[in-house]
Order: sequence, then structure tokens, then C-alpha cells
Amino acid sequence: MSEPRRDGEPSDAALIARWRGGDERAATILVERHAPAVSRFVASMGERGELEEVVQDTFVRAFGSIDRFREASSLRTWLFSIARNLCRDRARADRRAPPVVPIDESHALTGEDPLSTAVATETEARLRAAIEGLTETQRAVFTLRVTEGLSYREIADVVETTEGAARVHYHNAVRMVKEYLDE
Amino acid sequence: MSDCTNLEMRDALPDVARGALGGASLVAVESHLATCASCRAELAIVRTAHAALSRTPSVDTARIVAAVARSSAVRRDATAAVAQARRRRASRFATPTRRAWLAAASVVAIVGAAILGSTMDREPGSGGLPPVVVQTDEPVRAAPDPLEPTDPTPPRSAPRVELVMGGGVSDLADADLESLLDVLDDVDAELDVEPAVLLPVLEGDV
Ligand SMILES: [Zn+2]
Repeated sequence: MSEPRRDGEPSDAALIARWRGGDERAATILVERHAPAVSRFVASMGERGELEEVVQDTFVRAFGSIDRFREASSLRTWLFSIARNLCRDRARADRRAPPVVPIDESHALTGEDPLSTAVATETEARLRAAIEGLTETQRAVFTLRVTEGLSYREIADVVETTEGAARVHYHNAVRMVKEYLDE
Repeated sequence: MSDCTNLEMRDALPDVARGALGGASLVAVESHLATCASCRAELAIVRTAHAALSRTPSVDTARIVAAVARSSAVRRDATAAVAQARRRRASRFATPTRRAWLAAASVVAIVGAAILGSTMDREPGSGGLPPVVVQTDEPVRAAPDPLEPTDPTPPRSAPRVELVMGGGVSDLADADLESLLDVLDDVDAELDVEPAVLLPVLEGDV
């Protein structure tokens, strides 16, 4: 799912050019355009408590190094890539820190997490648990394909692999989810 | 149920779930789904996953925009401060370019070391070491005086000259810099080789 720009709205490249030229309104449009997808992705990667901070850091970093952004690639793909790296850094830091709250499966199943929300059906909750059991790369690939509709080529850019490997990751992820649900 | 081997169809299922497929592509997938229970089951899973993951957490975009603006303002200020410091330093040294000045400085240090080495050889025990900045009217060569016995060891290191190099020019008082610059102006004319190797280090020296 994405927030495609409506007809007549300027392209990302045009907005980036405007922002470089000092038009701060351009940054607002870009953030409003891409923040929903970035926040969905960050949530899918398991970041909950400080989701907004990660999303914010993603944009701060992206705008801070916008000169390195290659216009041939998509801004959204680039944002996912930055967000993914931030999520991984945090996951690494969390692993080093002693766990404050014991991880238990009921957390995922009962939807205590406000982002999981009470409307999650039993099937959805089981699916969430299945997705949480995927490797970090599988989860990123699965989410980007299913939720954001990225092509394998775009996914490969985000997770820094080849198009073929991205496809294999996706099908492995689907198989893992099926196996979890069949248990 | 074993997985369907038609990867092309399976690859299209997320697009079907998102409602992003149309036309002939959708017709093809639908006719495959009519005959493939495995793909129907997989589509159900993909649809549920899409529903489960597609809820958008609310984020305060205004706050994000403000953070971006703050961060870029800080960066702009820092860039401007660095540029200003560079300009200030460049004008303070009053030389054509900082590169040329630094090139000259390195040459003076080397030449000075050679002079000190030979001076101390000639005047053993002499208490007065030459000044830090050595001014000379003639091009100085590091080659030994032919009348003196050749010293096989490299020229002795000259502590005071090392101070000039090691302490950094930014540590010198303005008056010292001025007198050093006078010498450099003379040496500068003889410089025709840019010490490119020094530049990476110097670029970071702001
Ligand atoms: Zn099939």
C-alpha cells in the first residue's frame, strides 16, 4: 500500500530540488507523502515503543544526506533502506542491553500492543506471530512485497541483495508463514 | 498441500491482494486461481498479511518536518561557520592560497632542518641555535659542503624546527606568523611543485 501522489502534484525529484533551493514547504509535502509507508514498515519490523522516533530519524538522515540520493532510484526505496538500517541498529543495541520485559508469545497473540489494536482478528494475530518468527531479511522482504507492493528489484535495493535473492527470500518467507499457520 | 510451482502466478498474488492488478494480468491470475487450491490458500494468507500489516501507525508529520528543518539549519550554520573560518584564516595569512602557503611552510621546514644540521656540524658547542625561522637570500641546498667530511648519517633532526612543524601554524602568534610569511614570500617564488601528499591532511585542518 502506498500513498501515490495525486494528479498534478509535483514529483519527489521536483520537491527535492525545491527543498535544496530552500523551499521548506517541499519537505512538508515529502514527509506527508512518505511517512505513512515508512511508519508501516518500521512497525512491521517490530519497532513499537519508539516508532515515531525511528521514523523521524529516517527523515532527518535522508534530508541530511540528500546530496547522496541518486535520482535514478526512488525516494521511497531509499527511505525504507535508511529505516531498515535504523531498526537493525536498534535491534542490535537491544540485544546488548539486558531485556527489561521478558519476551512472551502471548504479547503478540493478545494484541496488548496498541498498534496491533483490538480489531485484529485471531487469524491476523496468528499471522503477526508468524511474521515475527521470520528472519529480519525475510520480514523486510515480505512486508515490502505484500504491504507496499515493491518489485523484487526495489526490494533488492532496500535489503542490499540481488533481485533473484529477494525473490527467494519472499518465497521462503511465505513458506515459513504457511508452516507456522499449519502447526 | 504442496506449493504450486507456478512462481509467476504466486509472485502476482500480493498485487492481487492489494487490488493493484488489472486487465489481462488479473484475468490470467484469476483463471489460474480457479484451478489451483494451493494458490487460493496462499492468496488468503497474503490477504490476511496485507490486512494485518497495512494499518498505518499515526505519526506526527509536523514534528518530523520540524526536526528535519532544525537539523538542516544546524548543518547550514556549521557549514557557514567553517566557510567563514576558512576565509578568516586565508585573509589573515595574506597569501595567494592556503595551499601555496602550506607548501611553502613544508619546504621551509625541510630547508631549515638542513641548515641547522650543517650549522651545528660546523659549530660544535655553539650555544646559540639559529632562530626558528631561517631567512636566507640564496637557495639553500641540503648537499654537504664539499670541504667538510661527508657525514654518512642523515641530517640531525633539529628540535626547534620540529616545533614549528609539530605545533601547527595555528599555534603561532600573529607576529611570528608575519615574519614567517616574509620568508615564505621569498621561498614561494621558487616553489613549482605542489606537495599533494600534504593536502588530504590539511583539508581537515580547520
Ligand atoms: Zn498455483
